[in-house]
Amino acid sequence: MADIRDKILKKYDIDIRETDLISLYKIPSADTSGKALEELFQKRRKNWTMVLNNSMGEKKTAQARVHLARADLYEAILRDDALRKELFAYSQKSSSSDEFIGFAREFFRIVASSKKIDDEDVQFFFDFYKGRVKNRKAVIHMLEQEFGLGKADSKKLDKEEEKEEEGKGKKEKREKKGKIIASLFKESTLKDIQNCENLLEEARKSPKVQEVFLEVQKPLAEVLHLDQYDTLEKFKQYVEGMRTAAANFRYENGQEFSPIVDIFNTMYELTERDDVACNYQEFTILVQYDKLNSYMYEILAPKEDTLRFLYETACKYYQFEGFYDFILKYFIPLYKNFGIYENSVKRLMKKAKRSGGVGGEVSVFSKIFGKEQEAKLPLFLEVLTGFMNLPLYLSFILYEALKAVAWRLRYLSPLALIPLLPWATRLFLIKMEFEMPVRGGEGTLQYTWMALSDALTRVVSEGALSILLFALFFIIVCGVPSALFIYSLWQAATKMRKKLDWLGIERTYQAVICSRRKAALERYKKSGQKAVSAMVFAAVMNVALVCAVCYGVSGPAAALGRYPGIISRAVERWAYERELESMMEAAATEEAEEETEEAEYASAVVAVDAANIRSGPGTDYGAVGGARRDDVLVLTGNSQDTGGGSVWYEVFLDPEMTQTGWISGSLLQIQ
Amino acid sequence: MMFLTVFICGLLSMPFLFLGVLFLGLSLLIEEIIEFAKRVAIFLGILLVCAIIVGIIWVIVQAVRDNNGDLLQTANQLVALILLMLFVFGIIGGIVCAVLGIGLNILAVAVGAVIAVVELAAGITEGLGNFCIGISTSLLGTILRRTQKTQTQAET
Repeated sequence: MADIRDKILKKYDIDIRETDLISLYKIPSADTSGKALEELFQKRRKNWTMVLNNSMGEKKTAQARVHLARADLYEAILRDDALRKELFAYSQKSSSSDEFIGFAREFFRIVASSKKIDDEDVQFFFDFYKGRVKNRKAVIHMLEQEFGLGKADSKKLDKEEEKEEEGKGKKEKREKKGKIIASLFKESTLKDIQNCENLLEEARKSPKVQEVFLEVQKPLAEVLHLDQYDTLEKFKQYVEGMRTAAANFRYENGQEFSPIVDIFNTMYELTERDDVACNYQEFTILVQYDKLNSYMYEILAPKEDTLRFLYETACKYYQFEGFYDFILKYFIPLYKNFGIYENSVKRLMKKAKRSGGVGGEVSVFSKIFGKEQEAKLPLFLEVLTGFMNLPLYLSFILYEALKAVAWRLRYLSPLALIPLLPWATRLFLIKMEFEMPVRGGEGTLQYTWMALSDALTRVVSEGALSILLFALFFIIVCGVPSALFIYSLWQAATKMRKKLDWLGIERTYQAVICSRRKAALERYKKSGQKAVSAMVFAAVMNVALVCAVCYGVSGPAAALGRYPGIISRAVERWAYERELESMMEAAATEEAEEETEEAEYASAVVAVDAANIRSGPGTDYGAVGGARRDDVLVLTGNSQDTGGGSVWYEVFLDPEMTQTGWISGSLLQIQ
Repeated sequence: MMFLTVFICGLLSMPFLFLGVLFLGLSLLIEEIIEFAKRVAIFLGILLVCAIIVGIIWVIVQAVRDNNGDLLQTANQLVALILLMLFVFGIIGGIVCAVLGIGLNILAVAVGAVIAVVELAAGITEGLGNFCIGISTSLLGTILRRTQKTQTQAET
């Protein structure tokens, strides 16, 4: 292996360890035909010329210039079949490939502990570690073997690679919603930070830079003095100053300072971006622990294992005092902006806070009202700002209350069982035709319990089979539907927590409150007493307006509060009237029926003091009843002429009209 | 007049925030009612299958108890009886489905329509919720922008 390197170094003065010609020209195989090679050479030359003409960054331009100057030598090496084959073998089996595959294995082990790996993750990996990628196929093969990457995914990756090679492929924008730092930072921001790290690495190689720019050996965060600038504005000012200084250095000392200039240029661009502007504190963490960015971008919902693996990796690059220290210093500041919690991770976070003695407990107030609260205001200004922004604070308090309720709503869902289960039980007992206790308060728990215990006593007395059947039916009719209902409520409440971007809204409130406080402080510093009087005026006006609105709203609110009573009374009255109406209708119908019945039968009044009612038409029959003067008798309609002008009528003996008897017509006055 | 902006935007953000959360909660509840109905339907389906199985077992138990002929003297005959029962239940089910085919289709369409209406309601309430939350946050954004603008003006 070393032979070919020495051979080329001696003959062409090109170190193939630094310039991998196979990957530079993207030569697919050792046996590539001459025609294909020429095409690749032309394509490369064209590419470098384009970079030079379009001045695409100083570093790229310089590289392109060097490559173009040496292109003839490169091509001469590659045209030599024997040399090309040896070079190809060297490129494939270079020692860095094993190292890179090892790195890839470690990377995907962490990612796989939180989610299933797919083609997007692999693509991100190759995009992020562009400078280190030499064995793409070997990495994909490793992923297929060890991480179960699907064949379809790897084919997709191959196609993407081909597209890139052809220069046609436009990378699709990948939306990585819900990933830990992807919800705060764009992919390009992470790549730019990584790029700064690479530039710093390059700058460290130059002795001249080391001599002039002493800080170059320090980590990126220290080079940028991030710990000294607590706000974005201050950091931006520093970067802007350094940008000019570095440009002057380059002007005086040459191109070797280009990476330093590029670092500050990139940083300045970053400070202009929205995601950095909105999350400056988190941005400082990203720069401080930049080697972990790619992991955090890929992790979806971390589990305990994910954190432990990540901690192992973090320890290789940074010094942490322990696992909990890592969680406190790195994970929690980034993770707290992310809503979905894994219980094991939550436990770890709590433990870390307890063990570290740091965290929320110390500054609950500042946690709620934003970190910049820690920049203290004088007490009178604090009070004044509070009153000045009273509506804003009231709105925030309402939001916090809503959040507190919504986040704990699911724990209240089992309470729905209190009305639900007794109702279902009563319904079950009634439908199963159990005898219900005769007493008032049908809706109460006590009544339901009595009914159930009565039913149980009866069932127990009937034997084991009855108990079994009763239990079975009770579970089917009452138990399972109630459980399903509670589960549905639980699900709805849980979704409520995840559906809304609670933390995002909270951050908006915090940003607004912080900006208001900062504005008040700056105004006070600038104008002193004059500003205070203006602020007092604003505070008084705001308090007065809020009071006025509260007073104005109290009237309608009170009326609104009375509405439930009014409505329920109206409903009760309506129901009572409906019942009364239906009762009256029923009575009227009954009366009408009676009248109709009576109208169907003729009646007669007894015209003598006492009369017998006999079992048949004639005095030969025995008496079955009697009647007195003025008694009204209902005639059945049957009559019989017994001769001699005597007519006997059949009459009902009882009001229910079930028994009949006969009476002589001479004793009656027919109506 | 910054205090007026704070007053108007801060105060207005409250009802919108409240309504937004309320509507979102309502839409989730509506969606979950559909889920609950589906779960109950699955439960009833399982119950029906269980009832059929219990029915078959019951018939076999009765047959054994009444000692109907020599039908159940061997295991093969028992299996044959179970298969026969399943066959009979299958035929009955088939006939019921064939007879009620159109009815069942109408039922399915009706259920689908009801679900669609309920989901539409859920969608509308969710939209309203998001709209209200959006207004609330944009009102807060107004305060932020106005504060920054005032600060910049003061500086210049």
